[in-house]
Amino acid sequence: MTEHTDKELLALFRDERSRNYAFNLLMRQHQQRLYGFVRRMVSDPDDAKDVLQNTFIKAWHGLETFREDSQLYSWLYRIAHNESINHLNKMNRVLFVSSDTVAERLCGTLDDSEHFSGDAIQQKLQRAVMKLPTKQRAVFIMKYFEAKKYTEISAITGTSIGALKATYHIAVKKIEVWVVADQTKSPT
Amino acid sequence: MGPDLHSTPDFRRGDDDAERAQLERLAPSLFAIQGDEPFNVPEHFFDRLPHEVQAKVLDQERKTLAFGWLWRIAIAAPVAAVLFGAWWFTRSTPATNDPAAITSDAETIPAISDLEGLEEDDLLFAVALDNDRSPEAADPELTDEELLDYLDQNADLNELISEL
Repeated sequence: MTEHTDKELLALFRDERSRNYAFNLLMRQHQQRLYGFVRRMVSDPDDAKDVLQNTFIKAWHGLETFREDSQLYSWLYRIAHNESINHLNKMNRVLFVSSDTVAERLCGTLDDSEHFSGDAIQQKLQRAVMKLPTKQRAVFIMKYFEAKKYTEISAITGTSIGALKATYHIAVKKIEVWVVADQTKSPT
Repeated sequence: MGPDLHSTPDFRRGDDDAERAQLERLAPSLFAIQGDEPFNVPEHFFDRLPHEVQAKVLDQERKTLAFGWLWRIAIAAPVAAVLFGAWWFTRSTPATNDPAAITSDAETIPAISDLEGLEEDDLLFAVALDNDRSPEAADPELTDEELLDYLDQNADLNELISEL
């Protein structure tokens, strides 16, 4: 698929006649990378779909007033990040259960080979990631899996770089402990 | 089963050597984990998503439009009803400064009440009298002098006698 620049997409979007076409292009251009983040955040494919749909719906409504001082992808990523956290917080509130219980429910699909094709250690890693508090989880995913720069993560999360480094450090140590403990309990 | 999330190489641990070294020192087990992206995407997910999102956006806009009109009607209808009610209850009967109009009403009401209890024949007679009324009939009393003048000018005595 031909990649379009932000300027091209925005120019097309601002023209009433090509608005739908432009938005379609925008979604096709960014949906896979955003899905990767959202899916790791919520794990469940249906939940990931809901979050991604809401992300793009919000983007549609906000794109008219989008200021071009940031990249479209970063802006979309920020919406996806906020939507993921809102979705998880809402699940906690609606189900009246702890975040651990929510994470366990969301991890249900990891046993289903239709949705998850990783080996045992990857499954353990994903379960460990899901145990992290939502904000730590987001930072860990962006840094560990997507190798984003702290400046970029800072722009997405609105958190200072120092705080992000500390958050990532804590998250890494927790995951290491959980992965090692799991390996000790049931070596694979 | 759909495509993998990333067709690009494994992102993990980034390309920053210092960060890689730090991660290896801090979490060797985590650092050692290898593998491709493990999440599978449902079949045709990325083909359908743009259409599903656009359908939802259109649906939302339609609802917003409809709700906007309902909202306006919901506000406008009670306001219009209140205004109409206020106009209805505060409107005054047409004012008049014509004394004749006022007195004619005052005279008509007792006149009608006077007619109550009269027979049909009496009413017809009263109407007939009213129609026949002439200036002379209205005041038949003549003085003697007026009568004599009239007879002098118009009456032929012989004719009068013959009529008798």
